[in-house]
Amino acid sequence: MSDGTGPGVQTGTAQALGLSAGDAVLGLLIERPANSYQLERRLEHRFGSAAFAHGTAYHAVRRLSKRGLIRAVQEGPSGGGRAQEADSSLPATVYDVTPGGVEHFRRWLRASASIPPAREELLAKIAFCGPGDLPRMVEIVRDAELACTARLNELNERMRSQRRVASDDGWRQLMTLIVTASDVAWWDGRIKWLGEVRRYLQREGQHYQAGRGLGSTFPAD
Amino acid sequence: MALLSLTDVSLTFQRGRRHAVRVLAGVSLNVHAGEVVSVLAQRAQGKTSLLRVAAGLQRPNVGWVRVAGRDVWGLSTAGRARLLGSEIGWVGHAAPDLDVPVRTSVALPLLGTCGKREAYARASAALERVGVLDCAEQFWGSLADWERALVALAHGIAREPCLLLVDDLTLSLDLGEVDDATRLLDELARERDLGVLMCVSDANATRWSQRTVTLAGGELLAPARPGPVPAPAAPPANVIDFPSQSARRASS
Repeated sequence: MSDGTGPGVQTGTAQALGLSAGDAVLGLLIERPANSYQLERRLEHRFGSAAFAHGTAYHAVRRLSKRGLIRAVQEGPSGGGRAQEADSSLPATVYDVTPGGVEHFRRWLRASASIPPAREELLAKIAFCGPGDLPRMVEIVRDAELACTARLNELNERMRSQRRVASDDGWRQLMTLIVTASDVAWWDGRIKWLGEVRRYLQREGQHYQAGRGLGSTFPAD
Repeated sequence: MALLSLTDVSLTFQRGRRHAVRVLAGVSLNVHAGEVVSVLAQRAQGKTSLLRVAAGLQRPNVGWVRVAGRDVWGLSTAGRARLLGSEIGWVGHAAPDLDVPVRTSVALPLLGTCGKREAYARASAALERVGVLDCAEQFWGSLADWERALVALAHGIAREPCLLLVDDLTLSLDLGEVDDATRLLDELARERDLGVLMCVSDANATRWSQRTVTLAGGELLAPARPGPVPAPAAPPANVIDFPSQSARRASS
């Protein structure tokens, strides 16, 4: 598995990557306790039917319970879940969040959610910038390079610690190597592309400065 | 103290009277003992120039270069040569000038500092450490790319330097070989308390480095090291207050 470290995914702490079903269910339970069926309905209502697969809430509840992030506050019959929900005469197990779950959710909520400056956004900025904006564009590209390099460092750090722990399974190591190489290649390409863009913008900025005065895309106030 | 310290190093090559090529611009970088630092850059971005400056082979126009606390350009030429011969190991991917057996080519640079027997013994130990002792009597031309990389590494560590400068060692290696070679560098750095500065053009070669910085347009971009995330003692006032929590607080 890529462990959620791939392109376009926030690479923060292992448990706080992107919007996972667990995080969403945790958020819903913090709002108010609920059973799995209600959670499933609320997920659909809040995020749309396409956001999460059918049955997501049931799986998430099991995982969150195992991790001690939520607990049952009103026990239903054993073998609950969908079977229990089908028989409306049986009381369903209602879950609430534990203090650890609240803390986990707060950490996720406060973690940076944006990926490094998206190439599309950067391209749009470059497409619309004028010669006078080039110095700022160079700064933006440089920041993006730094952010990508930092991500590469994070990825390497995590991969190294994983590999040092599990060093006896050669086959698994090889598979992990191949998979992480895909992520690394993506960051590699991005860093190189950004470096090239920055050099090009710097050169163009110098040409314009040497030739004629720089003007911004936007008219002065 | 850093084993290698580059401070505000700039290097420009003059091309005729009117043109100058900026190779390095205000580069600052420290490499500590036991640490592998990678410089990731495309070709022709100044990677080798950076290593040559670090080794004291190229004088920068501006800036300071210190190796093990010594100002490299404050030393005499002989002093710099001694420094390069004893404290700094250089690992490149180029073929050696002499077509001699591998063990001899590794031992030859050691002859200036020790006797023949010891030089050969140290060459053998270096080849054994990197896992190519069985190639000791072969010639460079008969080696595979992977073996050449390891022999180059043996060249670098045979002098038992404190600082290893590695120039795109993994250039012609496949994915698994890149991983093995860079992991070996990490092991060597740890077991010998060696500082390693490695220039690479492939990000997969950075995976065993403790730190990766990028070099483009003469500028070295080094992201700040992530520090420990402090745990908030109490929820700040401006954070979402969840209904169930307020209810809990009210009921308690």
